[in-house]
Amino acid sequence: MSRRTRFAVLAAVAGPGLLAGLSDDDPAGITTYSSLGAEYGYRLLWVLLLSTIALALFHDLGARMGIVTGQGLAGLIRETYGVRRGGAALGLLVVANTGTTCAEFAGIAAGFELFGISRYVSVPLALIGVSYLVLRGTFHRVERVLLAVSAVFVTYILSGILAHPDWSAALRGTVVPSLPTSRQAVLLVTATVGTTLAPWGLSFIQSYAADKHLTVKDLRYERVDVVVGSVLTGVIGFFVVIACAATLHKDGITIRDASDAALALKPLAGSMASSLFAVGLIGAAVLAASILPLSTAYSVGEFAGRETALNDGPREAPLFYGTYATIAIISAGIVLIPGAPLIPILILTQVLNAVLLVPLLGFMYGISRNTDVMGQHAAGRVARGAYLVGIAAIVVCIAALAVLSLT
Amino acid sequence: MSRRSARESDVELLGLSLLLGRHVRSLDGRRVGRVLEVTAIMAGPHPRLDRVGIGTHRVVSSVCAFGDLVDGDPSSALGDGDLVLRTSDALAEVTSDWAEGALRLNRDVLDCQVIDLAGKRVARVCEVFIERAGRDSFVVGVEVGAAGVLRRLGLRRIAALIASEVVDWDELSLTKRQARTLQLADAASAVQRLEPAQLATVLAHVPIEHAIEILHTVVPAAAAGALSAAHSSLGTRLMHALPHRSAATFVDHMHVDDAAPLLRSLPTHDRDAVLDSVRAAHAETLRGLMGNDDSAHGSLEQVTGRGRFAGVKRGHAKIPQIRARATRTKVR
Repeated sequence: MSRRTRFAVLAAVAGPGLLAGLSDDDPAGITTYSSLGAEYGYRLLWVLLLSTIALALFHDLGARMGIVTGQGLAGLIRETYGVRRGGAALGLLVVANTGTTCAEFAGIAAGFELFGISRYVSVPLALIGVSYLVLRGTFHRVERVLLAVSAVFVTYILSGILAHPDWSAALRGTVVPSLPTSRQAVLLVTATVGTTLAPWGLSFIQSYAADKHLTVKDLRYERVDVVVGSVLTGVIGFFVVIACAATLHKDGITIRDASDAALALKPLAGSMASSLFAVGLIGAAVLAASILPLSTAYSVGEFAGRETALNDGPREAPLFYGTYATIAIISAGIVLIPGAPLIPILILTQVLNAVLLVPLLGFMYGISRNTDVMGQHAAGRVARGAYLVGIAAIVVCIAALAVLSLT
Repeated sequence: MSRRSARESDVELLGLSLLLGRHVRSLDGRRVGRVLEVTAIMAGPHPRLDRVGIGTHRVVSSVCAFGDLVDGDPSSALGDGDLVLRTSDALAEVTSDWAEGALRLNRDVLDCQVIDLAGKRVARVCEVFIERAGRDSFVVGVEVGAAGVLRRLGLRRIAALIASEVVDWDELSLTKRQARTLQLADAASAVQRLEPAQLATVLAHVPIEHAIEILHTVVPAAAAGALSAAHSSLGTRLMHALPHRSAATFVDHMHVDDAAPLLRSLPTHDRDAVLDSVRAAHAETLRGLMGNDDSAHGSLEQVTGRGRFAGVKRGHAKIPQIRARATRTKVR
């Protein structure tokens, strides 16, 4: 096969890895990376590197499972582990995803408010936009639009460069691990791992790869897609951290969320850097607000064994589209309720995501080695070892988070 | 009828999910493990239950014949007590090939995907029903839908509010697909309820051999309706692939104005063979209709009427290829 043909095949296969990876850089992720940079400068960049490796590892596994079995994660868990464990995983996933979608719509609201646009305008418009895209678009149109939205992440790279970071310190922080012995540092490390590798991203990439009808012949190309998506996710996180490290950390400014970071950047890095940061926040939120209900709809449909294809219309796949619309409307509605307890909802969501991540990875590990399910594509000894190391590291992080939260 | 309400069923059925996970005791009362798997032999219309895999932590360590297990507590209405081995030598060590060639009901059927003939996902199996007949037991059907899922999740009260959907086993066929060893194809699912135009749309989206299978699955009137509603090129391809007797049955149910163009596309000897099996009066009308404008229309041009085939006279250049493909498909 010529180089040109290979590139054409790669371009056709690409999508699941890019979208699942980049949507992890959602407002919650940007907030975490901003805090990492604002509070600890360049010192904790190595955490981002490790998170990116874990992201590539498990997204590759998810995509492979979707391609080999033609099924999403919720359906495979039910088929392999039974309806109780599958149902429990699905229930937690739906609740956590609804909460996370709230966070995405809250991010849209906060981003537009930086430009003086009320949330009562921006959130309904975003809801209509993402719903119209998914309900009326074909698979390829939805994918093209979402990939185009992902291009907005380049604003973070520009914003980081405009902040004039200390590149040598950034490189040192990326490859030389050091952990300040404070509770806040451990919390931020755990949050960084948790926000990079999210349960909804894992279920999304598997379902999406299956919906794209990729075959085992595409596995090699899909791996490239996953690695590129994960690296881009890490690179964007890197630029968010260094933008905040070069400005907010230097001046000792702390932030509460990503919109705070955008505002704080204005006097330090210029209005262009600040505006780019805000535009990036809006784009990230819109992308994640499109993908999260989609991930949930895939999971619910697969658990029930119903059709879950973007190419089908609402008549052919009512459960799929019904779930999508319900999650999107409830989440946007909560953000629009005056005085809604958004902070407790977001905290509960983070906890649920953390609780769900470990069993979900455990199920994935079990399925990956099951030759009845994966056939000749079952994970070998080296891959299994890598998965176990990754899961163990995440368990340690979550245990640390639990201990620190309770003390 | 392909589906029936479980509450209407007059047969006492045992659900596989009620067996799985139950403790098994030997005659001396010692627990030897839990039921992890039940196998069935595919002989006859209903698989006959064969062996039970017993073990712990998802690992089968011993096996026994299905008939050697009895309920330890027959008064337990829900069947949630321990099971007891009928004899002291009923239990055997597991071997690597203990389930070879058999259908593993837990792994291969329970919670598996049900697809219709068009390949669309319609449901998952949430229960496998077993009927005891003397010492033998058979798989008689499966349950799909939300009620079974809720019941297995312990939400019995909510489940009771929803009607169960039970599919007879003989209306299902096992199919090999992707990584799963076996899945189910619900032969009489949604296609039975489709309008002619909807059925024609399904036919247009499946390989021709599946389309022929679907036409044989539905009632002749529905098949005739779908052939009439289908695009002329699809209708022609289907007529070429259908056995003469089936084609005649469908033509019998079609309006002459719909049937004539399809018949006209067939080579003369095939057309005559079909018409010979059609009702005499209907066949005469069709012959008269085709005789009147036989030279005016060429339905092959509906198949090959573009590009370099535009000038080809009716039928004869392309038809052998189509028929050959259809024959291979049927053989396969």
